Amino acid sequence: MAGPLTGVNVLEFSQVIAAPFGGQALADLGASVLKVEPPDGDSWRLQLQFRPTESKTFQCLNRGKDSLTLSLNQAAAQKIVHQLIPEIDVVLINYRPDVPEKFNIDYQTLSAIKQDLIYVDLTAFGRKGPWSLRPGYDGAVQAVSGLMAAEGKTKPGEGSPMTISSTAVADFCSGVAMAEAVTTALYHRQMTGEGQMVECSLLSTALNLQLPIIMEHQKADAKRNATREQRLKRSREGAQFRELVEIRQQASDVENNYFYRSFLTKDGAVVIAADSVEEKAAVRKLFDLSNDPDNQAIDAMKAAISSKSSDAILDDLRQFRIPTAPVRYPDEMNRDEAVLANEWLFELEHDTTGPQTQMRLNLEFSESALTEPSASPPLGRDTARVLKNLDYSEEAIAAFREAGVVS
Amino acid sequence: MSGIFSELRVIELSADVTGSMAGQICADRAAEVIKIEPPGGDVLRHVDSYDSGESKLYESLNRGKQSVVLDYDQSDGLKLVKALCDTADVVIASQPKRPLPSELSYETLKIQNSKLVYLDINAFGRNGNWADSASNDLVMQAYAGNMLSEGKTEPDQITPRAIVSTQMSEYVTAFYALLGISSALYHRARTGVGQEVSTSKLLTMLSIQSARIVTNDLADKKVIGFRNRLLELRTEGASLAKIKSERGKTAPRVINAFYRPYQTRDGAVFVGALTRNLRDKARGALNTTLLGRDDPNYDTRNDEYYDNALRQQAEIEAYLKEKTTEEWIGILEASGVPTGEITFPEDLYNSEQLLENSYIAELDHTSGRQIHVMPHAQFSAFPDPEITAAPSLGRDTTRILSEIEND
Repeated sequence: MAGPLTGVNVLEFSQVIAAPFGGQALADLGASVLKVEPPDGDSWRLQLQFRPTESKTFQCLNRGKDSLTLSLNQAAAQKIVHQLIPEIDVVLINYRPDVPEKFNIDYQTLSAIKQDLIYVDLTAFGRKGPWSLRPGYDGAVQAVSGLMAAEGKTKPGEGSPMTISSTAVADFCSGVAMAEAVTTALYHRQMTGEGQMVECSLLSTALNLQLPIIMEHQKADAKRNATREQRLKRSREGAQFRELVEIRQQASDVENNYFYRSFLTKDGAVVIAADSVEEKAAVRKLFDLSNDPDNQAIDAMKAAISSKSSDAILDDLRQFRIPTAPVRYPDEMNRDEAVLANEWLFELEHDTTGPQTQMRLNLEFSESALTEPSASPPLGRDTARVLKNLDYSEEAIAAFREAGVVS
Repeated sequence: MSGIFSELRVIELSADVTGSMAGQICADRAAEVIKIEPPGGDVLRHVDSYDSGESKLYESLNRGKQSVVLDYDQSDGLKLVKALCDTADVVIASQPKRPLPSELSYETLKIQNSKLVYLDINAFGRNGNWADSASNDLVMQAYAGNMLSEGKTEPDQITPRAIVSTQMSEYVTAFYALLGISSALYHRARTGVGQEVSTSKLLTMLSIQSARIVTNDLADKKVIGFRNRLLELRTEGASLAKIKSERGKTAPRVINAFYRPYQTRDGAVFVGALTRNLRDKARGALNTTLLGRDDPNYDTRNDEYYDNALRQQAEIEAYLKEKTTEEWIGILEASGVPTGEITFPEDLYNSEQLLENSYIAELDHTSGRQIHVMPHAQFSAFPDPEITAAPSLGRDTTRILSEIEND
């Protein structure tokens, strides 16, 4: 058994999180992925680096790839890309919309070399519109897409909004979305022989994480629009961000009820997450609550839970199939029983930094195997080999290094 | 109808956001998606419904589908669902509260339909004690560590609060689902063989924070003590208050002034200087000499150093309040620093950026006009996808059933 993308060649122009994460998924699925980096490396290699040009976050986003350094503003580097393209099935690219053309690696140019090329383009805000040429990262996209304000975190004291920090959700999700666009376009090429360009953006992904929230609905929105009007009015009157968030949160009753929230226990915390009529009834029965419990009754429920261990509470709730879970830190998840039982972590050896664990791709196939991936490549590890395969001599490669075309 | 999936029939057996979203992406690509709903209708129809069995949540996630009401708890209903699955190219199975009957498992369905692609969306993976537990997004974000990592709390400063901007475990898993479906369809187009693909919501939540979970002895030197101490506290059965207090004492103090939102005179703006080069530009725009992490003598453990950095950050906060958001966006844009206005999601319906990129569009539904978020990927082979609104309950039951009865 081999991966479903065995034999597919991917050329990746990427940095930071989104496109690298997408390219890594394709490598796990069996594709050969060649990552093009500037001579001093993807800037993410330097983000909290623990060895020169090696950071943990980079190593978690680039396993199973080869690394080719190219200084794309040089004509010789652009020629190397053009020489590679006939063997390439898929180009992944995440630059600002004006950049690919400057480097002669835009879809028009590359698809003229290979007609059935699949070219998946990820921008921050889309290729059109007033923001198209703005540089953008996950945080900026959280800001303009509504995610950050909807999360409603505010800085203690000063009160400004805060970034969603548990994960760069627009980045990671865009990586998966990009990979998904590739496999869908590969399916289309297999059925019709056609290549194409696919456009994705961090902004579009962020909107797709909020479908019912952004949706406007003539019949359903009366209550929501009243809250919106109140918020806009207070905003015009000069209200601070924290107040605007509070106006919005008061309108959603989800946050303060007793059957869908977290509770402190003797040794940690659990969530009770009843969301059906039956589950809510089961919670009320378990904790002796009436249909419309008052604050005193809910305080008694909190006290009962805080006197027990998390395990005891979880057992009680799971017995009645009430959705529940312990509340955990990420840095204890490498020992979690579900993680171990499903063998989601595996060990591998990096060329220069030694042993590490990595997390498997979130897919399992009955007829295809996932590739057993190698660790992320040291910067430019594969440059010489790739150039030799294009019939460049040792002397020519040395001259490229001299001229800064490659590093 | 034309689209990449226009030749495909998808049967959706889902009772959650993930399965509905996966089905919707297929429908947006012109697959014939038949959603099997129980006699009372899909659970999503009953979340904040504006009319009996009609909700915004359902309508935002079920565009372009056929609605067929069948009860597979009854043997007649089960037979009909099985017969429909025998005609399917793809089955999407996502039941977070209870398993499907074995007649609808891949093992059974593949006997009649060897080319079937069967997508199993599960919560905790297929193995381990948690495998069959009831789940939803709150459960996933608690169990996987995302919720504590995000750091929101109740006013007591200890009880964790949920992430509310998006149901990450549900939406991001839907993108993995499509990566699985299209990879398997590509494999089928190449080999003629169908297969089962599975994806897990828990692994989604772990994957988007993987660098905090995987281990690497060299990279982890500074955090290993922190990680080990947590394990000790867990073994001792420490309360969350105690754990938080201990982690607070040993957690590194961070100055992050260049990648965060700030309040302005009339709102809030994001400053997105993620790399060193951008931070140099941001210092000029924000009129500060604060070096932060770029200081070779960066030492936030030193109280005097830390207090001084905080004071400089407070000066930036005050400076930002002197001008409007629009003025700041102009200044930051001219300096080349990524930026954007902090916007509430309900205010995006008339955004020029969204409209110009076709990220939102109007659809006609029986309840009236709706504005929807459009698909995350735009394929050049199908520049104008035909996207239609969600069906009323059971709209297509008679037509679809007469088709199988006539066979």
